[in-house]
Amino acid sequence: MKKLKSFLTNPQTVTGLVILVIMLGLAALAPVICPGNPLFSVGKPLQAPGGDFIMGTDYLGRDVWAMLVWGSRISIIFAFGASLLSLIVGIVLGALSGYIGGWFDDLMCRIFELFYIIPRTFLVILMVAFFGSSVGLMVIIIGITIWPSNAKIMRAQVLTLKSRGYVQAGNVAGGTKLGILFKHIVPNGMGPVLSNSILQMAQAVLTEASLSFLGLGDPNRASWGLILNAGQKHINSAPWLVIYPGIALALLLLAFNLIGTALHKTLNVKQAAME
Amino acid sequence: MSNMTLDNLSKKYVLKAGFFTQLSGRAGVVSAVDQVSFQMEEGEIIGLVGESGCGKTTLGKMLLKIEDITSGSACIDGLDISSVRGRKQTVEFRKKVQMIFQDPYDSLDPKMTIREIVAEPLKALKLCRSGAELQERVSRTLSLVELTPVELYQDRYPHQLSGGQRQRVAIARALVVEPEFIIADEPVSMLDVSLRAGILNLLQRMNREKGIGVLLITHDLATARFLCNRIIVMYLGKFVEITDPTSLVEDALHPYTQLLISSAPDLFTDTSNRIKVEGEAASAVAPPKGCRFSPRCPYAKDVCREKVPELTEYEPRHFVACHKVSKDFSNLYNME
Repeated sequence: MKKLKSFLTNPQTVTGLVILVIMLGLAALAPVICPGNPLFSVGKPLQAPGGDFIMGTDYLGRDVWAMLVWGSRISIIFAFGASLLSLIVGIVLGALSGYIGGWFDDLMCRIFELFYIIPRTFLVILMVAFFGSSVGLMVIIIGITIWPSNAKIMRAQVLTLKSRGYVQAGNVAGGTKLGILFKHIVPNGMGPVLSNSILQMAQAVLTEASLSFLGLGDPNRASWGLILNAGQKHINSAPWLVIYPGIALALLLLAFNLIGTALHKTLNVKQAAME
Repeated sequence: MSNMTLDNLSKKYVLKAGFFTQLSGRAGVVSAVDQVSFQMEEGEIIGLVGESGCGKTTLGKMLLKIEDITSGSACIDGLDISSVRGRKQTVEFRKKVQMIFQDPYDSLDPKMTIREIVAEPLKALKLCRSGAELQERVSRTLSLVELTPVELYQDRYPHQLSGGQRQRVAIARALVVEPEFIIADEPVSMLDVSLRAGILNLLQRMNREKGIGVLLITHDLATARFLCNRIIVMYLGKFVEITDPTSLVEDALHPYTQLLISSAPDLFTDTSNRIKVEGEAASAVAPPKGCRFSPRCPYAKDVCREKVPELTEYEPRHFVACHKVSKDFSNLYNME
């Protein structure tokens, strides 16, 4: 509990959480803040910020602020969707690999490495070319390309935890092997995996933005990458098209990185002192 | 109620060796426990005493099926441990035999409350039909180990308790299934001396009131003397002497036992006539031929270095494995 308190009162965490909560609020309240479809033209093209449109309009006369607000939804979906998938797959496979050991562990480690070397952007481009650019599919693809690091961390945690006394005690208490793994070993090894997952959220957001920027995102949904994409031709005459989504992207990544690093530090420094 | 029989029980570990060592055929085998036999009577508290690395914990883990048995057999209540297979038999076995672990800072899951820790065996072995019954048994066991008031302790986490309280939780976890046999691996070695008597008295009370058989594994002769009906002295994987505590102290026959007693710290003993011993314990990877204690034994003769002494009953209920005292070999020993 002391750990949790020091984590939550840490200025890094507070800054990160404030940014994240604002972003989540924007995403949740998008229909209230900016009613209507953000992709409809609502004014003159390339209008400078101020007046009716606080962040100006793009070359089709779409409101940048509305697109930014609705776009935060996509970023949040990618951040949480992909990292949740990566968390589940990584924990299960990593834990089993470390716990069972032997040839199974060898095999699993080779599989982790195989997934490590897949060029993520290339795979996503390929899948979008084949199956079209749906959000769900892209979340899954990003998720299944980032899980190996979670799996490796979980495996290492299991290797150190499985010889602990309370694991043997769980065996003597009559627990089944799987029960012991998921009741005693995994919960005690979760910390580093969680902090890695938060850092992966940033990775997922960035991947989505770069894909949309390249024009591979879902064209029917507003996203930050889409605004950047629309703005690249007009960067000299209408710089607000890249400045605002750029700031939004940087802030969200900053939030994830602050929280992730703070969590990592809390777990590492205090762990030794606690035990 | 509860008895235990060990028959030529052995545990060997094959050392992982590099490719070339394996080619040369010199891959090491550690014989951690070497053909030990023993017959425990009902409701006894047996002490297993020996120095670090002599195989006491390995023996305890074999009896719990945490380690596999290499050869020989061990029976608890007439049930051959190596015949326990499958989930159903394992559950029955775990209901009978429980263990108190050595280190209370390592044996309790830091993420679980005291209630969850003590309830774990009940849930895993499906011993309670309702939540109320579960809570009732947990409360009863916690008050048995004097963690009272129960309401105050049961929702705490292990790190909020002191060492002695943690060890009581570990004992409660072993007792909650009402086992017939408990293996206590150094239950007090991590505790302050002031707390030891309380834990040992608790074990003794369990033994007297419920007839629970106890195998007390310890390196501390004083603990074993205080609690046990009989004491087994173990040296490098072998039982060297088995007797009751009084005769162990007053009438120890094996040179190793004499050495152990002589080296126990004591305020009132004149230290000048302590038995001095040369060298270190031999390695279990390449144990000496003959008696395993012979390289350090002040009385060792040729026969000790050649022939393994058998555990023989020298006096009624007093077993010893030493050529010097054994009737069969005393002639051979005295001839030299």
